[in-house]
Amino acid sequence: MSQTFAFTVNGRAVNVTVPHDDTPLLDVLRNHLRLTGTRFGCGLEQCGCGFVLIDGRPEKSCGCSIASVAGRSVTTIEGLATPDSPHPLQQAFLDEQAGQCGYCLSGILISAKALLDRNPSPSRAEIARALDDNICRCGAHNRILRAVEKAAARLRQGGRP
Amino acid sequence: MTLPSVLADNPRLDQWLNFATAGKVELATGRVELGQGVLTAMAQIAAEELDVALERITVRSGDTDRTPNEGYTAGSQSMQAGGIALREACAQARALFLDHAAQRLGCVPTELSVRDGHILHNGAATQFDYWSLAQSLDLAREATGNVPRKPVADYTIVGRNAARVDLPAKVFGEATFVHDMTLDGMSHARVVRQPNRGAKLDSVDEAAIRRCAQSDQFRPRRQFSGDRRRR
Repeated sequence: MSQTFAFTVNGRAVNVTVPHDDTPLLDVLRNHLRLTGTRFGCGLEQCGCGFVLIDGRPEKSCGCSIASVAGRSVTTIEGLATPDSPHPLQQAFLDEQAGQCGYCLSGILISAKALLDRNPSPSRAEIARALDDNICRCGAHNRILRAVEKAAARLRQGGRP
Repeated sequence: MTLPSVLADNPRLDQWLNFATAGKVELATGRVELGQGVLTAMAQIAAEELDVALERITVRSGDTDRTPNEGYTAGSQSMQAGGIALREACAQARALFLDHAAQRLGCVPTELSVRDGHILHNGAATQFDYWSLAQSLDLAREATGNVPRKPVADYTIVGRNAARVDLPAKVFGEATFVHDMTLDGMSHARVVRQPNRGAKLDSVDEAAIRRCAQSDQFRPRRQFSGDRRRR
């Protein structure tokens, strides 16, 4: 039986009606809200390309039921920033040319944001650990690590979070 | 001279490039971006051969109605086959523009050169550029393969790093992957296969599937398997 759930996405209040309360958040974002920046990779919480922030914490949207996010606040890659005013992470990924096919990047940027929110001065090892759940099959890892380091440095120098 | 095979297959120059927007060069390639950086590389090749700034190049890709038919994007062939074809098409277009400008200026093409799309006569500026000349130069003509290409020693764009043209959309979550595309009248379909080889479909609760899928397009096919081919 259809049910309606209310939550917040990128600062916007939404109501979504789905056939089942165990519908994954990922499906709701992509199919109902057309926020396709969050990617479907494996759908089994193994690849990390579906990361979003829920109340500020990184969660795999393929593994979260819509019922579990009712009343909560979700941030997707589309909510991080815009091309007119990029988040320091996005700018650093462009500066370092950190990405190839780009399928993993939404999840990596979300994981990296969650890291920098809780640890403004991560070591390279800490960055690698924080991104351990994010698979990049193209092999852009070194550029990605450099980009997160660069963004962290800029944020410490007063860049907009 | 023999044309590169992909250009021979798609010989009309306006299939490959146009100057319809002032200050811009729009390329069309039958290759698609899979993360290998091919659109950036195509832009570099064209900018180099045409003598225009890389920033002036836009690349259309993945639209089979409006790009040359280059077959698959596979086998490391995008540069070897497609890039070479594009380079030749750009060299031909550049030569046509210089011929056209020479007629208008009453000089010979060898006295002309191009700097960022602007035509120079013995190194001095003229009133012509690609975009003004394009008003009276039709690129709907076939490549001939009879023009010189830019010497590799003169390259300033190819062989140097360039920012990927595909990356901005990817860091802002705006990139469109195949399954993000929505086309008019598009339906989704799923083939439900037998759980193991040789299994036969016994029965299907079609009404339940229709309720669940909210679809009237359910198509039961009893023997949708290799068994049919074997008979």
